[in-house]
Amino acid sequence: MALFYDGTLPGFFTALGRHHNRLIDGHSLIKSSTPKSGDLFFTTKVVPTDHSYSTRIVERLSQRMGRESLSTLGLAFLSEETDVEATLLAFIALALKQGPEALQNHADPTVHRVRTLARRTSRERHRLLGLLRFIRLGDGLYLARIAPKSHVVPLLARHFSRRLADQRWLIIDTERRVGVYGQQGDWELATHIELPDPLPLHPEEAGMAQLWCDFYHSIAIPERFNPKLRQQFMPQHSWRYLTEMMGEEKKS
Amino acid sequence: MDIHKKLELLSSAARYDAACASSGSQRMGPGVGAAHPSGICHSWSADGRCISLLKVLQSNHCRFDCAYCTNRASNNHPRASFTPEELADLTLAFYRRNYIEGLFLSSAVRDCADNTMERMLHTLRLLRRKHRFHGYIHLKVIPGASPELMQQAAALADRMSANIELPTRASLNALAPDKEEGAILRALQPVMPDRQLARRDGPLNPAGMSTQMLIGASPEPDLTVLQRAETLYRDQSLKRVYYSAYIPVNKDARLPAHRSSPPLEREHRLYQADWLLRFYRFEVSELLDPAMPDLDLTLDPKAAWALRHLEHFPLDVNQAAREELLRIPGIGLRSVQRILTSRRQQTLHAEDLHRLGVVMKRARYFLQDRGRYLGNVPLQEDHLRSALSGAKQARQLDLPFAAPTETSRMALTGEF
Repeated sequence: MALFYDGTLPGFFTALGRHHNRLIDGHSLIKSSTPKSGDLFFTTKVVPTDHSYSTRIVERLSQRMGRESLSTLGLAFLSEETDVEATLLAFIALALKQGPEALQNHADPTVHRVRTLARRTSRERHRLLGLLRFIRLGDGLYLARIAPKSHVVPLLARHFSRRLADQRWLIIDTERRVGVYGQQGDWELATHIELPDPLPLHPEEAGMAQLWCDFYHSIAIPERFNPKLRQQFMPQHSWRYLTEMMGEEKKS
Repeated sequence: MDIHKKLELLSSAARYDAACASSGSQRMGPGVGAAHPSGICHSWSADGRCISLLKVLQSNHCRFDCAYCTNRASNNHPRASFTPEELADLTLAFYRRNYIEGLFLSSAVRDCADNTMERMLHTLRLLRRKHRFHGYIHLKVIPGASPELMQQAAALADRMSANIELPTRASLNALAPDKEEGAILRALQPVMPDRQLARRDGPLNPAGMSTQMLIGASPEPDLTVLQRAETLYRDQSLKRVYYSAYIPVNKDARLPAHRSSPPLEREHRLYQADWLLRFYRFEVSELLDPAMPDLDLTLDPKAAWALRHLEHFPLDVNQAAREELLRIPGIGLRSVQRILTSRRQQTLHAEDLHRLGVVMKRARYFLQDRGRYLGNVPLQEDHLRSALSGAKQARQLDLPFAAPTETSRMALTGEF
């Protein structure tokens, strides 16, 4: 039997709660959005998401596994790796048996896998805290576009709402078409966002972006030029919305 | 002069200062900005170095004539200054667009220490008080400035620094006779809170102080450089010492003749040694001595130490103490931590170690598992030396650049 859920974290926990035994036995948990490959499974069942039920499940898991295991789980989920569900279920089975200590055994292959996925999300998030660039639009809104591999938009909200407390700002994941909008220290998530093309820029924006590019080029010491080292920290796929590299990307 | 030209001049003048950390502060408040405790890298420049701050001089008008400096009085370069207003506005505009974590502000000395400091402090006051900016500020203090100005600086900046420039007083006197070592060391003294100046901006200088030495402009060996660093960490409680490979920007009889490339490999080894001092509980005397005063360029200092002390190896990670684990090449701080927590739950075998982040390609020569030595060559210096450095040499031949580079070189992210 295969269980289908909506692909969200509350959906995952709903399915886990309602079909615990089946899932621990090894039945598959699959995102509904996954393209169906023929009749691979004889029986299927769709699990509707129940938010309040999911919250109760999370609370019980937190008590049994510890908060750190739970947040590692959440981060790993957001990595959106294929078949992440199987990894998470294996880890949950382990952590339910061994408690919070389970997470500390880095040698265990299941723990290692979950931690690796969580680290992937976490690293991408931290990298974006730095690489994300805002553009000032005509109406004063600061807009940033990102195209991350993991679903990190919810993880960026708190940082930017603290940092830009007196600005109106919007971060958009251009592939997933989700975003987070903030002002006055508050923020909210948004879905199905469309951007106007071309973007209506604030009159001072072009000058400011040019100043940043000027600085970016002046600050490098020519005798130390090392594009290979730069590539290591800032691979080309991260240059897409990077103000200072937009000229470079066209060249290469 | 327009702002574009000023920015180009005053940032290229500031780029030889290696410090780039934006960590160590948790500043926040009403207004704009919040410092991130671990620091954030916003970009990497074409030389592979991390960009975290808007790094500029307030002015490059200088009355000093230091031999190695691009801003020296006898150089006929265009000179410019930012007004405090335009620099504060620029910093904020960049910050709001998430280009930077904050400002790194230094200055050449046009007239005297106090006036120069005053102008920089004016910029900082505009940022902190008028614009209510809580991002990161690194201020280079001017040696010789009055204690009152130092107090004010500590209340406004997260990090403060003053460069000792050269490893010994003798070299400083030879290459920068306008500078005085005593004044620099006094500027690096921790600033004590003044009861009159209530803590209106938060803790004083929360990210501590740092300094920088030029490498390769003067004849001192690595031993002297590292002993100086060790003293500065111990006696002045500095947070960081930076090592900056000398780049010849001037022709001067007092400076070494032009090399084909700057001593980047040597700078890299010094940073590795610096990390060993600060995090791995090494002492300088274990790494170097008068008979061997320079770091091995072909091997990192930790591996070089291990080869001189093979009597400690091979170790079993299940038995070894933390201090012993820290000495194994290929096992870093995080892996040591993981070994300690994981071995409480299961015995660790060779095939498990890569999951803990251990670099088995290096560590295997120093480890045993169930009594079996994990290296594939005898545990002897000459065999291990070629095993550990052989692979690196092959890679260097493939690189298209004239300067020796190493793709594992650290960027100065200021983490830790």
